[in-house]
Amino acid sequence: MRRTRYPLVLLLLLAAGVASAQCQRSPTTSELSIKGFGAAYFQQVRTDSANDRIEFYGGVCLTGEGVGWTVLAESVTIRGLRGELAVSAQHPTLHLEGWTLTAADLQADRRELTLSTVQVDGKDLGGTAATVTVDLQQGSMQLDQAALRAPTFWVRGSRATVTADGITVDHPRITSCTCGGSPLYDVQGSTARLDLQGKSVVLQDGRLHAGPVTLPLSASLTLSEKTLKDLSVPVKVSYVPSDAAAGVAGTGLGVTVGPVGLGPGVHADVGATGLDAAYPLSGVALIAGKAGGDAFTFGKAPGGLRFEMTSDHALLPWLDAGFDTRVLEAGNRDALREGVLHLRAHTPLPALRGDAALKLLAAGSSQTPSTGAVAGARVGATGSLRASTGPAPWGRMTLRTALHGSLYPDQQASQWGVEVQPGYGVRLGPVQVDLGYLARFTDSGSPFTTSLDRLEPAQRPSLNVSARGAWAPGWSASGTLAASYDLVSAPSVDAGLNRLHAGASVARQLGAWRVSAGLDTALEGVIGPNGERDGYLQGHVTAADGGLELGARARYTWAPDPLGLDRLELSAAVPIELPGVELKPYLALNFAPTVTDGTLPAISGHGLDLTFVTCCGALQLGYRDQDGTWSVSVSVDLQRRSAAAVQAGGPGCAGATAAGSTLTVAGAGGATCDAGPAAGPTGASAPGTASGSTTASGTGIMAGAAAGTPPP
Amino acid sequence: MRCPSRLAGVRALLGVLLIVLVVGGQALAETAPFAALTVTPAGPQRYDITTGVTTLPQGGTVVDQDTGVTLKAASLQYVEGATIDAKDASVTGSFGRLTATSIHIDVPAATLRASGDLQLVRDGLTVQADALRYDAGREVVDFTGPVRGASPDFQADRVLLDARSGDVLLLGQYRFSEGALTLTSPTGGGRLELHLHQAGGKPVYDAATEISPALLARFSAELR
Repeated sequence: MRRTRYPLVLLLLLAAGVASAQCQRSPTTSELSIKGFGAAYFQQVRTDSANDRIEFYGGVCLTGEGVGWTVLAESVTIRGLRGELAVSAQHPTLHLEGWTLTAADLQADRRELTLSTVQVDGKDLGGTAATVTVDLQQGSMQLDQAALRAPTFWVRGSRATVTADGITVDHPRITSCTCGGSPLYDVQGSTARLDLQGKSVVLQDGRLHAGPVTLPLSASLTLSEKTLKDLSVPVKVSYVPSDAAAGVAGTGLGVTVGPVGLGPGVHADVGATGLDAAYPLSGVALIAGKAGGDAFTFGKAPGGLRFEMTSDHALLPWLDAGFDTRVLEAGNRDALREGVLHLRAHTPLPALRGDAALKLLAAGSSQTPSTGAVAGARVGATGSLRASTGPAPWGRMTLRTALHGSLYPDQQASQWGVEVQPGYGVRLGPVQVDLGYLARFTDSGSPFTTSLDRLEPAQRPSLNVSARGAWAPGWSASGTLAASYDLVSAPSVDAGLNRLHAGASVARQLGAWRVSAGLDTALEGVIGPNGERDGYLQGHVTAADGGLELGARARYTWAPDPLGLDRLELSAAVPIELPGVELKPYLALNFAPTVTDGTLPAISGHGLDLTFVTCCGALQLGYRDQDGTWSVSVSVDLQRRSAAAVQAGGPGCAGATAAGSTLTVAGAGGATCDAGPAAGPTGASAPGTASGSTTASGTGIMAGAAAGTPPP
Repeated sequence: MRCPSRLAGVRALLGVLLIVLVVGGQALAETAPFAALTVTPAGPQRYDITTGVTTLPQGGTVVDQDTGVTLKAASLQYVEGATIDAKDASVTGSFGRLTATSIHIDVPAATLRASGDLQLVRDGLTVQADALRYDAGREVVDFTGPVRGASPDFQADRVLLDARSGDVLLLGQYRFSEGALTLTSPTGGGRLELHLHQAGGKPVYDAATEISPALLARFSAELR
């Protein structure tokens, strides 16, 4: 067992410059095995039986039984051979499971090993600790007063516990600012869990500190490459214009901050809408909480007052009970107030690969639709059954059925409904085909609207086909076809073609350029039952080299308004580098009016991206208005750093060690750092990959992905 | 009379021989060990007047009057003032008790060589080896062949013993065990000093790979 790690240990020895000590017998190296503890490889030894001690010197390698640990030192002393074994060494280097720890002092017994004044390196982390205690049986490490550097963040904590699963840091302070000095910001919490393989950090009870500002974060915050890409940021920017045709009362420009943690399971969103002059100013203040099956939300929403409280609990393994209260106001339009008590019995049906459920409810509801207010009690029952054949080479069949029945005593009304929804799906190579059918029979007897519980009859077959894969070497392609057809009319839908969309796109990397092209069409407005649905054909071509973006788009519209060629657009986003910031203005011009009417081209889109490259990472802020649809974007690239961060011996430099080697840090324009002997422990750290971005349209988005913490 | 014998006819001859050995030994006693030997046959002895070899087919005892070294053997041959060869013999002296199937003593050189089922036992040390050479003048024992120690537990290609101090030097490929410890030489061989001292009234050996100058001086002839 021990022999299997000799080659690795030899490499480590060479890297550490300890050529005199070899962890195996050699023509000049002796071995001393200590039963139940390990073995020592050394140049010289002397025993002192009167004092029950052995001293190894002239270059010593000490290896342990159990977990694979190795200590290199100029000399090692072992005492207590006849009793409690005690090992001591000055200026040792410990290698353990991919970690390299150099220290001023080492003390060990058969159970644990303690290092003092330690420099830590390995597994993409480097740093220091006041003491490190290693459990020689389990291989776990405990670092006290730890200050660790990862490629993309620094973390300090009162204690860091390293196991095979990851690293847990108590009272952590994390920052992505790796240029030394006081960090621009840090995140503190009760604990942080570092998963070095998954490159993620899970922070509990986090608080963001930036100068004098402290901002509570969610109770459990996960930071990883993925979560940073899907960043959930505490600030939202939105722009909701009025749309009279759709009956939407706009709220204009809005900014809200949240969710901001107020305590365990409780958070708040605060802000305002109507910040632009065209809309009335209105405040937003919502507090929400959740604990087990109980949840609540109350406060002032953009549309009006909002109060929701739900409580769902399992009474028995097969029986749940709940009580919901909702007050939703939206500018006196479609307001809803109700309280609902419900019971739900359910059971799995393994033989059918499905389940069955029966739900009973009693509610008092008040709704204010445009047709007039309606209020009263409602009592209902719903029985449902789901079954499936399970996956098979020939595909998978599913069936969903439901029976609805409701009484409205105050209106002396009732409603029934029967719903049958069979489906079939099959994958044919890269093609997925799904067929479905919805059959709903009902008397539509509810006095409330479809947004609450009114059912409408439906007979609707549907087809969805999608394909994705490599079309040819170097090319990727995808295509979709979606169609549905209403066989019967209902108050909100006419019989006929409901949807017919088709699209295809291809993409290829050509040198530094990523080129893509696509074509899609919607035909339900052309061959459907009326002209209120979409009917268009559009195509686009884009090319981007990571900075410069070029695009062209054309659209021909038939329905709902026969506009003909309404889009012939050319767009470009050009990056401009300035000291400390990068600008990327975006402009799209629509030449369709020029072609059709001979007028000047119209601006169909504009935007601006600002990228600030700091030692904390690169922060990108941007907005884009495309055809009146606003979007705001924020991205955080922790991989990209200013030169100052690299020169400060950031994570990338942490790997270079005692050998004084020079290495190149990926990203950041290939900056280099020269790690001299004082640069600390070694171990070429793999460049970090934590980066991410987030964008949102319509309701916007925003900032502040808290990655990290602090302190040098 | 040191030479009891049932054969009265040979008593006179033995008496003469004893006188010769004692006298001859006294002449050499001031210069080397094995110079004052007393031979006591356990049975008949034959003297070959052509070669000068005396054979004791039933063995006997040889005692060095000066050092107290005592040789007992199942059979003996000696040449007066020159050599003694013994079979299935044991030798007791300051260096301990040596048993071997074959022992050869070079009287003028004051050396003893032994081989075959060889074992040396002394206080705190038991050694088995293929062969040994004992320099009686310098009191140094040189064990060769695979050498094994039972107390302490060791193995070595070669072992030197300082019969005065009890210190031991392991040479070549060696292994030394004590309790839970097992010390093994470099693959290219090496030296390990085992320094004898008393701890709690018991002999104890301390090991060191750096050999003390005093021990190196003691073994300078063997290490040449």
